[in-house]
Amino acid sequence: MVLLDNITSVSSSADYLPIGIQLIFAAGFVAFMIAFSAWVGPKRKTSDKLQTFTSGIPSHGDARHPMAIKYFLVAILFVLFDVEVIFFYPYAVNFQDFAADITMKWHTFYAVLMFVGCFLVGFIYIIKKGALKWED
Amino acid sequence: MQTNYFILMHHELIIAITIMLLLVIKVGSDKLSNQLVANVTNGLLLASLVLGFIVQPEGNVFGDMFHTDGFALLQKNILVAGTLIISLQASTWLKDYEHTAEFYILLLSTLLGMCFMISSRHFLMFYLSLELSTIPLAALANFDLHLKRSSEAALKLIISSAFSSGLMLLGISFLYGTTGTLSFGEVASAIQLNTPLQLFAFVLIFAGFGFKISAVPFHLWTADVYEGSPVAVTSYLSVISKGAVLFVFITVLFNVFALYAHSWYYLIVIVSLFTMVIGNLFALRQTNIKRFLAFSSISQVGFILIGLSGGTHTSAASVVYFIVVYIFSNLGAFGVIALVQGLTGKENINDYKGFYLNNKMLSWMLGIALFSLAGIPPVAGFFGKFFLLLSGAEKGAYWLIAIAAINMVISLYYYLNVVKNIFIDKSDTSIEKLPIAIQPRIAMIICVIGVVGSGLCGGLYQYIFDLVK
Amino acid sequence: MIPVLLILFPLVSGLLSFFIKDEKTAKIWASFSSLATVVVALIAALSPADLSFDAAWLPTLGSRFSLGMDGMSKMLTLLTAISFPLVFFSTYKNSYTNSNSFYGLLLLTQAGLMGVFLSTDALLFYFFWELALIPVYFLCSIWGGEKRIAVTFKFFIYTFIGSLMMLAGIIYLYTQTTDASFALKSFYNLHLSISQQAVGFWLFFVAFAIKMPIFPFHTWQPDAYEQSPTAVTMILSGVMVKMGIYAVIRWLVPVFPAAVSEYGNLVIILSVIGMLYASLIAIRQDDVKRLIAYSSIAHIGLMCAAIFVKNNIGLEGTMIQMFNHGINVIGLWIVADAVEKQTGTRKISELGGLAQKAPTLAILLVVMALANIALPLTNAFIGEFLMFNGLFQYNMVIAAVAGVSIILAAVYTLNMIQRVFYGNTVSLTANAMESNGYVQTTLIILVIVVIALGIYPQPLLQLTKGVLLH
Repeated sequence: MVLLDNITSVSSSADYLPIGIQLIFAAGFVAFMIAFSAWVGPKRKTSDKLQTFTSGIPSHGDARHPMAIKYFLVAILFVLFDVEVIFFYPYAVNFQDFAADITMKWHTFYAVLMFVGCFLVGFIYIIKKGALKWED
Repeated sequence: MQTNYFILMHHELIIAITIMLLLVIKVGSDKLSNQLVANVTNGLLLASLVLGFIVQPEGNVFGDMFHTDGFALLQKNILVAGTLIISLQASTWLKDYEHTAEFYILLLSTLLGMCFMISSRHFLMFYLSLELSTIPLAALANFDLHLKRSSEAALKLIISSAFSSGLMLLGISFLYGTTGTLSFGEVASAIQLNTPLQLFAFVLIFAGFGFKISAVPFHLWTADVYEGSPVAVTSYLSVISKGAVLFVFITVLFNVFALYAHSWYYLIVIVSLFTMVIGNLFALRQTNIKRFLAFSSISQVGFILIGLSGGTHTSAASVVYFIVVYIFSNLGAFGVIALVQGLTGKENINDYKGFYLNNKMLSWMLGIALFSLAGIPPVAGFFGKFFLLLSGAEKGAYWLIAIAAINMVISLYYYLNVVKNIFIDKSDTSIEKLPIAIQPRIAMIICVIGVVGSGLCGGLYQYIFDLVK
Repeated sequence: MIPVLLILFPLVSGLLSFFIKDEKTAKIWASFSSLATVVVALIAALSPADLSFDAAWLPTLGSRFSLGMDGMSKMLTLLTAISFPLVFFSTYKNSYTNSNSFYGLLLLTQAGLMGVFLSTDALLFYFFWELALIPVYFLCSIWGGEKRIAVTFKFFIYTFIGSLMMLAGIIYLYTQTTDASFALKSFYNLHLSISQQAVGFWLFFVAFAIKMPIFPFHTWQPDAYEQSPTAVTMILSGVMVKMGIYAVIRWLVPVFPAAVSEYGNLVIILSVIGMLYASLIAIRQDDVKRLIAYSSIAHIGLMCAAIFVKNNIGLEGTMIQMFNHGINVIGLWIVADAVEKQTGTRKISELGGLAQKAPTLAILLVVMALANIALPLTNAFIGEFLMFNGLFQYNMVIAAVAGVSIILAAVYTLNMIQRVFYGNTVSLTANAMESNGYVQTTLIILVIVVIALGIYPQPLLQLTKGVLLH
């Protein structure tokens, strides 16, 4: 309710005026700086200057190089199974309390077992599909 | 307490078990017949459907995040039945397909998401289930793996649905910011009139819904995605996933944002007008039958929105009834198209010239389905549209009814055009007699009975109406 | 129960007809089932009391499956019942591809027509109204002439626009009823203001006017009649146009009395313009089918005008004329079809001297044609006399102008007879013969009905009397 009060008290349009001015000022400043530097600064274009320059190493090839889909596959699978681990945390934190409770003890265990089981089947599935096989 | 969970969520449980079962089967053996996979899935879906009509529990679980009652069960039954029909229709296509099990796993995942979505009484739950129901769909859209346009469809679908989800999330977070809660019931009581931020939140959520049901101006993804996806997925997208989102839309509009009824009334009326007109005008010019049905389904959504604008029990009942009818008629049409496309690869409207000559039963099926979509008696589509218009007229918007009537005439033109191609035109290269396997045949019979029966049997509407109350 | 049977018989037999493989069986099946319907319709017509049937249909909406049968309904269901076996019989020798579907669709049309004439619930009425239309779409566009597709499209879109306007009107009236009901009675009990009535009146009237058709909504009609297969044309002009007239009498005039007084004059003028216009065009027609089509527009115009004069004489004339016009126009179509079958053309300019080759046909045609121009002792005379009488009481000038159309009718009808049947034979008619026995028998039956009702119209007058008292 406090949150609600705050929101409603703030949300009158006059209160947004400073923010609006700041926005205009920020945008104006950026635009001014870009225009000003382009106008004031000296321009001497040579082919060397227009080269991409990274750490003193001459550039070669195209940056939009096709990457093997395997990278993405492994990355996404990593994220998936990584997230899975997060769900163990609440269980681990509360493990002692559950173990003390006679009725909850096995229920929670079964629940986690089911959860792990689901993921295990998925894991076996991707292995069988060869998603983690690096070399063809 | 423990068993209660299982009974309350029997739809979701059976679907989840089916998914796991399919995964285990797939892991267990690579060389299992597709027929077996399909039969197992169909059997379990049928079991779920039967159970859905017999066991009708009512209650809340998960801290009131999940709610089920007769109305929600009916909606789930409708979706399960629709999925079952699609699965039967797809069997010709899936017979020699190497990823049948995956197809079903993804399909059922989205169905699971939709079932949760219908039952959700909390925005967090709603959002999660919405995502569960859309992300596998993008994968499904890409299931013609060798086709480039299929990949295009999948990419368009995933990007547009991600965008719409983003809009909806923004709306939900504004709602949370202003009310401090996400539970449907609490939000409904915490909402106040004349709060610009809440109105803005509503508009964002509305836009999110608009994307999912492809209402104009959020419709641009529809045609490409429908054209590129395999027919089974197209029919699923156009019927089941739209239906599920509309079901939730009813709850969100009528319960959560009931206070804003006067604002969303005009919003919906305007959107429905544009949806009808633009959907119709684009459908007029289509030559590909899948694109054609995509645009016609956009205009159908316009009619549904007219029904929604009523904002009463009657309009909720009329929308649900229309969706039932729409499922039968659209799936009837898609069933024939799936067969034709699967066996001959033809999907232009011109290819259907002289179709009646060799394929009498399929022609009648398609003809009846199209007449139903056009809303002509005696088939059920007429009653569906009639109820929608009737509930739209409750607020006295007769001009809206008049415009809807004009749109019905326009839509009649292009539906008749297809009917003409099938029945009347002659062609030297008309499609040969197609063999119909037993599963599509069953699906077709269900659709015909549904299209004809659900209109003539007045009890169905009564049944839905009683459940809404 | 009898009203339900009247719908059920053609509906079931029509659906079953689709499963018949053999052409001959399909014809016999259609003929016999339609004869069975005639028996039921006769029983209904002879029963002295009004019949009705009522069952729950859509209780939430207040729409019931209610059928009612007063004198007018009895007469029109009888007309519907009689005309189908006549059509089947006269076209018995015609051969149609997929004849099972052809006869099935015709019988479904009959079911729809029956429903229109019987229902006393607006939603049900609309339902049957459309049900009668859809089979006709297929019949015309599959079995019709060369230009059938465009013509049928026009016909279908026209009538569908009308239907949707009516649907909008029905929804509007429904929201105005106090008991949220679609029943005819609730519509009669409405208390609408003049402006409300005006909206409803035009929504309904346009739908009915397209169906009848009334000038200027008639443009679909000559093309559709010309291009449809003859059996369908007979049904279209013999029975289907009566849907529009019937609907005006039952659903329009009693529901919007104030609007009828307000706009009745306009409608009458439109109708009379249509009569003259159609008659004049008929004179210039070279195609027999188009000639009959325009002549039909003229007759319908008179019937429509006679309803809106709002006196009992005109109304009675219209009611019995509905029946008589149905009989006469079917007879004319049969003759037109017989001529085309014998000579291979419908062009009046290419024909001549047919009477020498086919004297029986000529005699029968002359009787039908005389009925068409409403000569005394033919059935149409009574109806036209009553209608003109009504029109005369309403406004003498309008009646006089309308009376011109009688003369014009004589001009084009007799001109047609003279040029087709008399004079010297030409190359096309040189080898013509008498038409087959089926056609002749049907025509003889029709001629008997025409003369019998012309001499003794009492049964029809008796049947429709009850309606007038309301």
